[in-house]
Amino acid sequence: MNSVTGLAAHHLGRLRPGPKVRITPHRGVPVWVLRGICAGTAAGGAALVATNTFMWLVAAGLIAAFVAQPWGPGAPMLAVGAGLALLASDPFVVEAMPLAFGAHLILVIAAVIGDLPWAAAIERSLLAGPLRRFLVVQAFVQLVALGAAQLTGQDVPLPWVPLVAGVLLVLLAWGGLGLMHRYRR
Amino acid sequence: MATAEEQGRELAWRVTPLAVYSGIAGGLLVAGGLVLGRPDVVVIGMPLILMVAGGLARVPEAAPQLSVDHVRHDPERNDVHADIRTGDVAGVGAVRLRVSTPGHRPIETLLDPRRNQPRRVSLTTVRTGRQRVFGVDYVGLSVGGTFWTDRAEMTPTTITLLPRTSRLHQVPLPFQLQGLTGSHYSRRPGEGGDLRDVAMFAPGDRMRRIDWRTTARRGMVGATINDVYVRRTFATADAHVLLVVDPRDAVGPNVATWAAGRARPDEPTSLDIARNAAASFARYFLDSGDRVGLIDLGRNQRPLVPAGGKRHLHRVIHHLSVMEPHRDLRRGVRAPQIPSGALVVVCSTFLDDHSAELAQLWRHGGHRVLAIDVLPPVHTDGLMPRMDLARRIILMERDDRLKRLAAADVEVVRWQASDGPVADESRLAALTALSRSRRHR
Repeated sequence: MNSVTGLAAHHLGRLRPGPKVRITPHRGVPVWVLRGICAGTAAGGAALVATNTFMWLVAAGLIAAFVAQPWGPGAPMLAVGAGLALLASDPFVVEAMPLAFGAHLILVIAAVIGDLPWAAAIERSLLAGPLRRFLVVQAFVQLVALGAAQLTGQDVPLPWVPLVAGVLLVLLAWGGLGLMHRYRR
Repeated sequence: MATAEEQGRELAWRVTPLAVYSGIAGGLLVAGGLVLGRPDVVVIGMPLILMVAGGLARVPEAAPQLSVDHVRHDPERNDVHADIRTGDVAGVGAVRLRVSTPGHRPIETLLDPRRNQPRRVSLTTVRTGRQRVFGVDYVGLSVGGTFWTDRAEMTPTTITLLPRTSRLHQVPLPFQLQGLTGSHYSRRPGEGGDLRDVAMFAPGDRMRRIDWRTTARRGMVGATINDVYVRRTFATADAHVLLVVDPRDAVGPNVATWAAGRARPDEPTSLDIARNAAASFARYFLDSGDRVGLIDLGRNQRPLVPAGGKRHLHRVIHHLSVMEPHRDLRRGVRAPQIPSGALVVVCSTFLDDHSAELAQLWRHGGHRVLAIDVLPPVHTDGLMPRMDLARRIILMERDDRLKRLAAADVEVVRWQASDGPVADESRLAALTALSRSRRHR
C-alpha cells in the first residue's frame, strides 16, 4: 500500500459505514440485553453484601470487567468476592441463597454469550437448554442451602424459597421419570 | 460450498476460559467453605462446580456441521441471498457464526444447531460482475458452554451478478449500414418498404414493381408504350455495432475511495455503469436484428466478434459481467480493428487519455463514435485538501479531454446509474437527439 492509498484507507474509516449483512434468525435476543441482565443481577448481589465504598468499588470494577468480556475472569471473581464478603459476617447468612442464584445466573448467561459483540443476536431457543439446567442445579443448591441453614440453626425469613425449591424438585423428579420412561420404550 | 469437515480441517474441542475460571473459583469457594466451616460459602461455590462438572460430562462427539448453499441473486431488489444450514451433532449446543462480505459490515449470531430449517443471509449490493459473498467463519460450543472449537473458515462464494439493461427508444445508427437485409432503411435502392423514387425500368427490376400510372402518364405515346417506369424502394440493412468497454477504472462516487479501491457496495462504480450502458446498447441493437461485438480495453485478448441473436446477447452480457478492472494496458499495441462502417460505442470514464485517443482514432477512420461517459457524479466526503486539489486537476483534465472529443466529432453522452426516471429521460433525450442529428448512408 503506497502512501496515497494508505491515506485514503485511513480516511475511509471516517466515512459512513457500509451496509450490513442480514440474517433472519428465528427471534433472536440481542446480546446487549443479556449483558444488561447480568450487570443488573451483579449489581443487586453487590447491594446485598457491600457494606462500604471499597467493596462497591471492587464490585463495580468486576462488573465492568465482566460486561466488557463475559468469558473473562470477571464473573467467577464476582462469586469469589461474594463468598469473601460473607466470611466477614455470621456463620450462615441467608443472603447466600440469592447470591448463589445470581452468581449462577450470571455464569450461565456468560457461557451462552461468550465474546459475542454487543450488537449480535442469539436465537431464543438457545436459552431454553441452559435455563432448564439452571433450574435443576438451583433446585438442588437451594435445598442444600435450606438444609445448611437448618443445621446451623438459622431461621430462613423467606418462606417462598423452600416452596419454590420443593416445586422445582417435584418437577425435576417428574421430568426425570418421564425421560426414563421414554428411554425404556 | 463445502463444510469445514469436507475441507479436511479437524476442529479440536477445548475447554473455554470461562469454564476454567469457574472451576477454579467454585473449587476455592467450596474448599474454603468446608475448611472454614462456612456452609453459606459452599452454597455459593456449588453451582459453579456443578455447572462445570455437568459441562465436562458432555464432550461433543464431532465437530459442528455448517454449510452455505443456494446462493441466488434477486436483481429486482439488488439482493443476494444464501441459505445457511446447521447439522445436529450430539453434544454441540450452539454455533457461533460470523458472516462477512467485502464492503459490508459483518454480522455475528449464535445459532441453534438443532433447528432444521435453513437461515437466510442476505445483503444488498448494486455491484455487478463477479463478487465474493458470504465468507463464513464459525465456532462450535458444547452443550453447557464448557467446550469450544477452533475457528473454522469457509471460503466465500463467488457469484456473477449480471448487469441490468435499460430500455432505449432511439439510438444513433452507424453512418453506413451493412448487408442486404435488416431492420433499418439504408440510402441504397433495394427490397424495402419506403418509396425512394420512380425510375425507368432497367435490367434486374421486377415486373411487380412497374408503376402503371406513371408509365401511362409519361411512357405512352398514343397507344404505344415506349418507356416503362418502376417504383424503387429503399433497401433494408443491418447495423454493425462495436461496444468498447474500458474497465480499467472502477471508481465510485466518493473520490476518497478511488485510491484504495473500496467503493461502497450500495453505490455503483463506473464499471457497473459501463456494464449497464453496454448491455443496454447490446440489447437494443440485437433486438433490432443488428450485429454487436465487444472489445475489452483492459485486457489484451480477442474481441467478441460481431454477431446477432438472443444467444449472442447472453454471450455479450456474460463477457461484460466477467470484466474486471485490470491494468493490462494496450499501450504499444495497435488499436483494436473495427469492421468497416461500424458504430463504435466507447464506454469509459475518460480519466486518462487512452480511450479518448482510441475514440478519436476510430472517428478519424470514418466510423461514427459514441463516447459514453460513465463516471458517476462525484462527491468529496472525507477528502483531505490535497486530495481535493488532485481531484480538481484530474476532473479538469477530463473535461478538456471530453471537449477535445466533441471537437473531433465524437458524440459524447453522459450515462448515469438508472436509479431514477430523471437520469433515464435525460439519457434517452440525448440519444434521440443524436439519432436525429445525422442520417446514415
